[in-house]
Amino acid sequence: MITLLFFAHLADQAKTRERQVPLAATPQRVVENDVNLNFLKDRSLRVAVNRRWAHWDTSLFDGDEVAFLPPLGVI
Amino acid sequence: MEEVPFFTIAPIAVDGIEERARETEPGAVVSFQSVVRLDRTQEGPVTALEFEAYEAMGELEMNRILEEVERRWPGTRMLCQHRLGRIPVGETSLFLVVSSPRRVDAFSACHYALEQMKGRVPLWKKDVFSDGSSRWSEDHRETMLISDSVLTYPPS
Repeated sequence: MITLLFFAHLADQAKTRERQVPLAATPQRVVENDVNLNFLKDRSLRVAVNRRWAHWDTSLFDGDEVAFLPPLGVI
Repeated sequence: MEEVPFFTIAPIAVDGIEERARETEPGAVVSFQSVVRLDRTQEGPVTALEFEAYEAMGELEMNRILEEVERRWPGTRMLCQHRLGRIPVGETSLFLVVSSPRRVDAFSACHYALEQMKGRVPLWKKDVFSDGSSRWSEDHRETMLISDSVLTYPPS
C-alpha cells in the first residue's frame, strides 16, 4: 500500500486529505488505476514522493507517500 | 529551520526573531515581511487570507534552502517563519531576516531565499471574504525554478 496526500482545492475534490491505495509502479499509474482520481488529470500539478519533488514516472515502493500539489507561488 | 520553526499558527514574533539574527553582531541585517493586504475583488473585499501547507515537506525544503544560502554566502545567517491558518488584513504572514558580514550578501541571500521559497515550499492560500465565505486563491504564478519537476498530466 501507499499513502496519497491531497492539498488545497485537491483535498476539497478528493473529499479527504489522505487515502491509502494499492502500490502502483508510478504516480502516473496511481492516477490511471483509480477512476476516483480523474480530477487529477488535465491539470498543471506537481508531485512529491516521500516529501521530495518527483516526477510522474518516479518508481514507487511499498509504504511510499505520494503528494499531489497544486501550483505554488503564494509567497 | 534549526532555531525557529518555519511554520507557526501564532502571530509571528518579528522583533524576537530579528533580535536573534543580530546575535552574531553582523555588519548587515536585511529583513522582509509579507503582509496581508485589503484586496477588492468581484466577490467583495478580502478580509483575511487562510494559509495551508504540506508542513513536513515544507520544513525539509526550507532547510535545503537555508543550506544553499549558507553555502553561497558564507557567514550569512537566515531565520524565517511563515504563519498558517487564518490571518487578518494587516498582519504578517511571512517574516524573513538575513544577517551577514556584508550588505550585498545580505540583500542577495534574502532575494534568493524568497525566490526559491516561492517555487519550492508547498504552500497555498484561500481568500476569505467579509461574509465568511472563502475560495482558493487563483493568484498562482507558478515559478519554473525546477522545471523538470513541474509536470502536466498526462506526462508527455
